[in-house]
Amino acid sequence: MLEKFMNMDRRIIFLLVALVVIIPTLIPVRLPITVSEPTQKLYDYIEQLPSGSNIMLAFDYGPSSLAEPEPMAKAVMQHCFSRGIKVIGMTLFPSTVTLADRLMKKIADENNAVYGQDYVFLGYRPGTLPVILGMGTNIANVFDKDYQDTPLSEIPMMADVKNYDQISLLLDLASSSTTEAWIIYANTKYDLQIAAGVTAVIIAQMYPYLQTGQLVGMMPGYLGAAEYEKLLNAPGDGTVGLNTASFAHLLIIILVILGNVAFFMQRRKEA
Amino acid sequence: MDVFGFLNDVLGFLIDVFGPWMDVFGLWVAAILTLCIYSFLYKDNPFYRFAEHLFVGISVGYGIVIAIHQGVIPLAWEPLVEAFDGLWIEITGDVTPESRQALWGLFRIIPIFIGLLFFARLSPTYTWLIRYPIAILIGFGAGVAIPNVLQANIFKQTQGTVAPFDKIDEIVDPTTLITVHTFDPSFLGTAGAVLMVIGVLCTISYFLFSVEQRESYKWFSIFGIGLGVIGLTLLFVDNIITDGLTLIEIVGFVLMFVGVLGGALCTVLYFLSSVEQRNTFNWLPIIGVGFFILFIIGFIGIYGNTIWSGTLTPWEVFSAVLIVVGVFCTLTYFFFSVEHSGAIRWTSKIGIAFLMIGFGAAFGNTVMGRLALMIHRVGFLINDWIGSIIALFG
Amino acid sequence: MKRQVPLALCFLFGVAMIYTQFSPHQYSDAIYKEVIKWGLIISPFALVLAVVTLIQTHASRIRFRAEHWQYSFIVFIGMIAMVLAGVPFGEQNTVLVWLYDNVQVPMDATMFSLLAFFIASAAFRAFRARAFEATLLLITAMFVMLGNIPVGDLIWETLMSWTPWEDGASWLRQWILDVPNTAARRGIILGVSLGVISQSIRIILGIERSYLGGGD
Repeated sequence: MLEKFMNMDRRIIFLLVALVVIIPTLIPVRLPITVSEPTQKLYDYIEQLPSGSNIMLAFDYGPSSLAEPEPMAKAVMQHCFSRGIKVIGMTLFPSTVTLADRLMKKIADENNAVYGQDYVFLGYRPGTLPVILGMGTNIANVFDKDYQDTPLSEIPMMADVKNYDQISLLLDLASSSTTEAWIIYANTKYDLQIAAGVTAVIIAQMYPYLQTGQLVGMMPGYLGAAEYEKLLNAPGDGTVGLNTASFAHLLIIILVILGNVAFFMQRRKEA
Repeated sequence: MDVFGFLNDVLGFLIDVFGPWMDVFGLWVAAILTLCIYSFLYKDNPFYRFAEHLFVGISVGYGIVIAIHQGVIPLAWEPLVEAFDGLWIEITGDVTPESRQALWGLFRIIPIFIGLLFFARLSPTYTWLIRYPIAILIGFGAGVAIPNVLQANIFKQTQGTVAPFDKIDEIVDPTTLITVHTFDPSFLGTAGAVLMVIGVLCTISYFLFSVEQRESYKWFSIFGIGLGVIGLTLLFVDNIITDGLTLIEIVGFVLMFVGVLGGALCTVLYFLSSVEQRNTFNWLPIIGVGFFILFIIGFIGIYGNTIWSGTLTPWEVFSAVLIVVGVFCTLTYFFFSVEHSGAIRWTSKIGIAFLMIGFGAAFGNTVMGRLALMIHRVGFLINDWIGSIIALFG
Repeated sequence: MKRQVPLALCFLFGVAMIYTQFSPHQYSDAIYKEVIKWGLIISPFALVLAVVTLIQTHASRIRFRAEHWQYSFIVFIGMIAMVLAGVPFGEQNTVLVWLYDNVQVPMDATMFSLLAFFIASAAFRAFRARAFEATLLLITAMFVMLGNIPVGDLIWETLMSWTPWEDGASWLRQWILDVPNTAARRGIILGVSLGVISQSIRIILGIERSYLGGGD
């Protein structure tokens, strides 16, 4: 019996996982969310920026992990537009260009933001290091035109933006080690303030940089998106996703416990 | 090109006419491909393999398009064209400062040529030519990394480890609102404190070594005791010079002296005894630790007040100490690839424990990340795809 | 030509980048900018390596009739379709964007979402408290999972209401990440960075040459 339980077909587990995700998707629930310190710090940082400041949004994730960064981008851009802060988008990921372009347009439309005045999307350039370093001296050296092929000199909001000196914050929406690259090369060399919105997989490795202040704030995965939405009082995909995830988390916790109970029972039986 | 143009016109026309239907069609294509991939959960099958290969092809194709249109054209091709335009103007005579400036672009022929060497990969005989661009990119990366990694990851991270302690005695003056440090010892005092800490660490570390190692580390602990006594004396003298001694400080210093000397006595006795005798004297290290506790009590008696006056709560101090211990032990684990023994064995064991907590935290978060990906797809299937079907009939 | 020149180039560019970062002189600044420009121009060509390798792999699978070789045609069809739509007409071509939106993005996202099922299965089968270290990892993971979800605090309030802490689950998660996790990660960062620096020095000095590949 015990043996059978421990070696059960993994497809049964797959089915359980599917169920705990499908059911809350059909019948959404809403639970209270506590805001953690890293998210609060990012929110406070943007909140204290004067109207007319520029922030840069780096869409450094592939389509494979768009689930978490998209609600983050939405929340932060909504915050920026409501405060009159301009957003400059770009990506270090070749596979995300179209996605990022569309996402920015969509969020901007929802917030009545105007292209060229409130936001701009620069696109992608290959080679992470030269891109980060190159923009430090002159953004136009790397992106002489935006993604729509308009020269930067003809874009109103870029008139006063030459390099990182005119950018108050870089928010890296990341699914891999790009945040470290931004910290090492843009923060250390050019004093650009860096914040991150990261997929859950790399949350843990960001903490040393938060403690030293090399990251001014961070949104950790779905949780971060949901927390930021709470701070804005505008629940969105992050809140829905996190609530849905609750049940699957509980299932996994129960699976770990059951697996261990069975393991110890078997070990006792063998002893 | 004309064929392409024609094809594109035809497709563009179709998309214009069937635009809304293309969206619906796209939704169905996406949903069916999603289900093809999920079919892998049951078992490997042709539908999954079809989707997987289609994905590889499409994404590489997209990568090529992006590399050309967002890389080669704006960074290499366009500046080069401008440079040749400038050259043409130079020849025909109508020179402007802009055209003169654009001439510099001609130098870009060199890096473009080097970049093109990547195509040598196609030739078996000349494949070694790709070493040129690779060497440049690697050399560039290495050169840029050295100063910046040093600054960002070594200096800043080490600084961050000790920075919290700066706040231990930090208080905000209620009248001026200026942050001041209550613990402000003179040079003599600081020197004394530093020597004392090193001395104490050396002495305690003696007990951590295994019996065999102790023989060779004998002098290490004698050195430690010496430093401890000198440091403590300096601190004592400093206190008398600066503001005399209060009763609590006298008691504190007595305890510290007794602690250091008692600990020293135990250590000396212990290593004077032969290995056989040590079995009977095995209570000596315990007494030594007892003396060390006396020393700590004395220290807290003298400096406790100043230390706890800061903005950090005891819990935060504990956390800060834990970070120092964790970083130290984790590094020990990494750096001593040789067989761990004695003190190093224990520190690296603690290091492993910290690493396990770190990996556990990463695993817990990874669960959230993986589920997020799935929730997104299930949301697509249910809300977008099935939702559109329901909307069609509802 | 085959080894010395690349080694010399690597040395030259490495030293140039180190030097120009410390020297504020205008010429050194100009060199710095020019080297970055070179990096920008050379980087996009590197994709050739990946594409050539992919084409060779699938071409040889077709040639040698390896298992499931028929699927390699699908790789080529997908790639050619994208290249035909995108290379002449640009990255915002409607057909390219349609294929990207409805084929590439959904499949990439779905492919990775399979990991949610596998991590659940692994949690049941492999995540065992076999030794002290494994137990520590397991307990930490459980607390972090609980702290990540809104239900976590509710459960804490129900089961641990006798403790003085409010929102204990999220507090504990935050503390684990802030303190022991930070310590471990910092240890890793310091260790890896020292490795990166020493490796970089070896590369510039030509001691480390593995990037040149085999052959003479």
